[in-house]
Amino acid sequence: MAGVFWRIVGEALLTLMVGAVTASALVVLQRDFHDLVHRAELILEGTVSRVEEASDAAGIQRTLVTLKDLTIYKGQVTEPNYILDVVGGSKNGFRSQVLDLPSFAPGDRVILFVRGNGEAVFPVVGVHQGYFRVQPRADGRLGVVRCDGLPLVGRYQRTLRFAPRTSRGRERAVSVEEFRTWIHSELQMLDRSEAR
Amino acid sequence: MKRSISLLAVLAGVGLGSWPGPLFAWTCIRANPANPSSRCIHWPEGKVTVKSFLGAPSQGPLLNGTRTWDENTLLAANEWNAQGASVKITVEIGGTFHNPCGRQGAGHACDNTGPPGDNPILFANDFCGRDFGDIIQLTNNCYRPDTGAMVNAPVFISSKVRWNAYDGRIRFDTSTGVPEPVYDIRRVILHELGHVLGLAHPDEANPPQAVLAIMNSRVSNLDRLQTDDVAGLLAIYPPATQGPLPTPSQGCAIEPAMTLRPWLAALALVVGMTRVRRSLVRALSKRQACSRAFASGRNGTLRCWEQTKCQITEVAGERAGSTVSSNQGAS
Repeated sequence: MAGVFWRIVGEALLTLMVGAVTASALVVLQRDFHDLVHRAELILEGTVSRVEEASDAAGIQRTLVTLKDLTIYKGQVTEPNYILDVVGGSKNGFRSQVLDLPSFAPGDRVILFVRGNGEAVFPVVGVHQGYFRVQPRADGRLGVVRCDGLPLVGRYQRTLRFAPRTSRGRERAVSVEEFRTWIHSELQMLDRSEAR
Repeated sequence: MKRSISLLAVLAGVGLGSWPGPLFAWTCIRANPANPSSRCIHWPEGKVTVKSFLGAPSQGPLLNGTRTWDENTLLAANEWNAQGASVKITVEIGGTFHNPCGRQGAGHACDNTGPPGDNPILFANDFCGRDFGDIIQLTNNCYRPDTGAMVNAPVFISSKVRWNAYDGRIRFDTSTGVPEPVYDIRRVILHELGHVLGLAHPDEANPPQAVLAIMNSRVSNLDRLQTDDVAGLLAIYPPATQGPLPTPSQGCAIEPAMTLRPWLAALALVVGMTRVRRSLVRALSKRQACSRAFASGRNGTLRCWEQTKCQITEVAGERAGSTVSSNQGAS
């Protein structure tokens, strides 16, 4: 019995210490789950089908990320595909790149909390905080990992909880179904508060 | 007794848990992202001048005793300069201001970067008309993908958030009842100058890793350069008297063996650890072979080193000697 107790204490401390390496304030403004849902103009799940570069109306190069197979949780998309507009790109043998921004890879299944598309440097609430990837777990189900590699493992009130970036941590990632449930329940709370 | 042992196990676990991960986990932007062994983007002449246009706060001295934001640019640059790398950051306070915003062409090396070699650090309400969103600062690196040569890298700092300058833990202003972060501009500039030099975020590497670094994607309670940051700097800009250092992406995992001292090999021989002895002898012979090959190609680039190492790695289980001979011939 005592052995079990100490093992639990040990694991808890271990988790705390590993977590401490990646915790703290952000280069970007810190956003909790409530903020992600409430501030997003559009919440969608989709598959990155293309990443290409093109000039905007002012001739400034930007990167366009096309998402297909969309599921929309908040907001509206009238087209079958959705295009995310991010700053940076190559032109005439030179490349401009904002190193602080997360990247997209074709084939990735992602969940995005979008805000200010076409107007913001990176149109996702909290930058990396509102950008999740759907990845398979060892049990065959799909888990949710934030774009910076932190597996999403739980939620306490408004705060999302993450595990360390280890293979064990990734196995603990919540299922995509559970994450969808969280989004829906937060949206219902939003509807109720707006109705009041 | 059992409890003591358990406690020791817990403490050991805590110690291991706080282990920051691989020592050399730094990352950089590769000139060719599709080729992980291509050169990091870099300043080819080993020098970069940044112009600090941040000015001074209206509320008087900052918490770290400095009187201007620009002094903190100097402090951050000095910290990078003190690491012995073959790159030097020169800071000019003010000077001629070229607006970095605009289309590539005359006066703009890339879109929104200004003239070549012009690296302003400035407060701004947005990034050339684009809303910062939730970003508080960014560096727009302009470089040539064919060579990895950096052309310029303006740093934009959002004027919409609260700034000060201090050491230690991130501070919050609670005067309004809602804790609001007050960002330390010195450590943020330290991070951005890392981007100016070509470093990227180690905590966003693939495969994922955990490492203590000022170059992590988040500002944390760390306020000084860490071992990993310096390792990255020295790998991109090796000191003049030293050859290029290994980079983590090259997968040259025999590196620890190369640092073993000859007396360790002798000790292993004495105690008759046959297997250890065999591996040490192999490691030392690799070391000597690498040293010879590398010394002869010292005027070359990382490529020479990588080639030597990787070829040796490939034949590690066979006869390294014959491959090394061919390397020496090649170099």
